Amino acid sequence: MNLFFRLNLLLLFFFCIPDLIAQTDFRPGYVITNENDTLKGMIDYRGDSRNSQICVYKENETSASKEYLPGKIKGYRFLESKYYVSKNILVEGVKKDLFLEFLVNGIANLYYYREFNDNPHYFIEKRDGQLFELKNTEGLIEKNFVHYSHEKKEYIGLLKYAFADCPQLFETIDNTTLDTKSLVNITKKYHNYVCNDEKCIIYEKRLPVIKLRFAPYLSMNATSFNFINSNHLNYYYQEVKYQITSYPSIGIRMNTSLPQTSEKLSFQVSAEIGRNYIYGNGNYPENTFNEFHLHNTFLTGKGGFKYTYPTGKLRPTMMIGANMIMLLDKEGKRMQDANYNGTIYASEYEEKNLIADRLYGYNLDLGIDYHLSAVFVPFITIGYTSSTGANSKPASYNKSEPLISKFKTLNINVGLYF
Amino acid sequence: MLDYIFNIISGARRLKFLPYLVILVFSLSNCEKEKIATKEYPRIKTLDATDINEKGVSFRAEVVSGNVSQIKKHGFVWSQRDDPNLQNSDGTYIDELIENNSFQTRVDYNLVKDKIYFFRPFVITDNYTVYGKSVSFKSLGSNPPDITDFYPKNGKGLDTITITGDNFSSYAPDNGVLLNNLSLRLIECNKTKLRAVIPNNNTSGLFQIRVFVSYIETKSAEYFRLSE
Repeated sequence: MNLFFRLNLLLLFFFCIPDLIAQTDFRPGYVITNENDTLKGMIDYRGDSRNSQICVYKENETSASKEYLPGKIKGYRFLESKYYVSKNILVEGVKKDLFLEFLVNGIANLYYYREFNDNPHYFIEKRDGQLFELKNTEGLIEKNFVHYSHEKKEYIGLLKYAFADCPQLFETIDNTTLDTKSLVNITKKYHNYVCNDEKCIIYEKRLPVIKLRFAPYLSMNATSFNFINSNHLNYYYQEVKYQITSYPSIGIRMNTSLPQTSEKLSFQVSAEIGRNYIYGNGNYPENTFNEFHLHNTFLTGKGGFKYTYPTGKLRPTMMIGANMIMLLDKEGKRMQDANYNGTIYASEYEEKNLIADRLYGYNLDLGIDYHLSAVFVPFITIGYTSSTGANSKPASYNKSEPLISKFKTLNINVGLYF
Repeated sequence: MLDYIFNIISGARRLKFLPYLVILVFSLSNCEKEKIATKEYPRIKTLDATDINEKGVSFRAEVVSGNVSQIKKHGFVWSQRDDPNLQNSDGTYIDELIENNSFQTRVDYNLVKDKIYFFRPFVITDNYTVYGKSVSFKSLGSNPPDITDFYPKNGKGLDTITITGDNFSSYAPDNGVLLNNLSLRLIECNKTKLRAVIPNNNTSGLFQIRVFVSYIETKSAEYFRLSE
C-alpha cells in the first residue's frame, strides 16, 4: 500500500468522522406539550442546528426515545441550560416550523437559531406578539458607475421599531451589532427601562465561539524500528533486527473547539520532544557481526480530530490524526566484529545519518478525560503512531535506492488540560 | 478575541515548570547504557589513551561481555598503521590478572615523538584471539633503546650476536642492528633481547653495536671484535 493511497484513506476517514461518531447525548430536561403539560426526562443535546429541527425525548435512561418536531410541542428545555420554543417563522419566503432558542424572556423576547453551515438568525418578538427577523443583508451602491457593497443593517431599524416606546435606547441601538452578546444586552436594557416590577430571564450564558485549552503531558513510549527495504540492499543494514526501545518524552497539546457548533468534536495539535536509543544487531556478511547504536533527539508534531464523549466526569476520548517526526539530533555508530578463522577484529564506524530526517504518518489515541473541575481536566491516553521516512544519503552507503525508516510507537500519555 | 489572547498568555504562565520537566525527561533518556550482545568470545572495549608524555603513554581496556576466566593472555598492540595486531606491530602482554573487567599498561618505548599511533587491546582464549577497536593518539616520545650487554664479544660472518637490554621492539621490522656499516639479520626479538646474524663479509676491526628502534639509535658501550 503506497503512501498516497494511505493518505487518501486517512482523509476519507477524517471527512466521515462526524457521521461515524454522531451519537446521542441525553441530558436532563423537560418537554412542554401543546396542552401545557410538562414531561420531565432526558433530551438529546446536539448542536444548534439539530436542536432547532428536532427534539428527541425519553423518560429515563432506559426508556425508548420519542421524536418531536417543531409545532408538535410548545417547546423543550435542558435543565439550567438552553430553552427552545416552537415558532412558525418565515425563512426566505417560506413559512417553516422551527425550535427557536429562547435567549431573553422579557417585555420583548429574543430568539435565535442557526442552520448547519449558515449564519445565525435572530428574532425579536414585540410585546404584542409580532415576530421580526433581525437581518443585516448586503446591498450595492452605484457611484460614478462603480458598484460598492455595503451592509444594510435592517436590524437597527427593526430594533428601534420594536423598542419604539423607549427612545432613550436609540443611540445604543445604533451601536448594536448583530450577535448574541450585543442583542441580549440591548433586549435586557429595554426590559429594565420599561419594566420595574420583575427582571427579564436570560436563559443561558452563551458558550464561547472558540475555546482553547492547553495541556502539558508526559509520555512513555515503546517504539519498534526497522528499515523496511534493507533486506535486499546487500549491505550491513541487511538482516539487522532492532529491539523495541522504551523512553520518556514530554509535550504540550493545544485543543481547539467550537462549543457552539459541537462540544464533542475538537481539533488538537501537539508538540512533543524526547530522546531515544535504538539498538539492533545482525550478521551480514556471514563472518561479520554488526551492532547498531542510534541515538535520536526528536520533535514530534501531531494534529488531528478529537472526539470527547460529552457527559459525565470520566469522558472517553478518541483522536485520529497525522504526525511528523523531526530528528533534531542524530548520533549513530555501527560496531563490527569481523571473524577471520577465530581472530576477531572489532571496529567502529560512524552511522550518524542513517535514519531519515523527517518521518510522516498517522496516529490514533484512545483515552479518558477526567473532568475534575471546569478548569482542570487530567487525562490519560493510549496511542499508536506509525511514521515512515526515506533517507537517500545515509553515511557509508552509496546505493541509489533510499533507505526507508519506519517507527511504530505505542505510548501512554498523562497530562492536564487547563 | 482579546480574552482568548489573555487566556493563552495566562496559560503559558502556568507552564513555567515545563523546562524542568524537559530536563528530567532528557536525563532519564540519557541514563540508558548502551547495549552489547553476548558472544561466544569475550568482547573488549578500547578506552582512550591517557597520560601521554615524552616518557610514553598509558593504554586501558574493558572486557564488556563474556567470561573473563576464559582469557588466557591479554595485552596491547600498537603501531603507526591503523590496524595493529600481533603479526604486524609491536605489542606487550600483561602478566597481571584482569580485575574488575579491565586491564591497562604503561608503554614507554618504541614511540616516536609527534607521530600518530594506533593501539588496540587483545585477549586470547582457547579458540579465539579478539582485538578491540583501533584507537589513535599522538605520541610525545618514549624512552630510547638501551643495550646493557652483548655476547659473544667477538666473531665473524654468519655468527649470531645476542644483545640484552631494554626498550627493543618485539616487532622485528621496527628494530635495526648495525655493526660498522653491516646490517645484521634479526632472527629473534623482544623487549629485552635481540638476536642477530652477522652477514658474510671481509671486514675486521673493533666496532660498537648500534641498535635502532623506530629510528631511535643507541650504541653499545663495549666494542665487538669482528674478524674475517
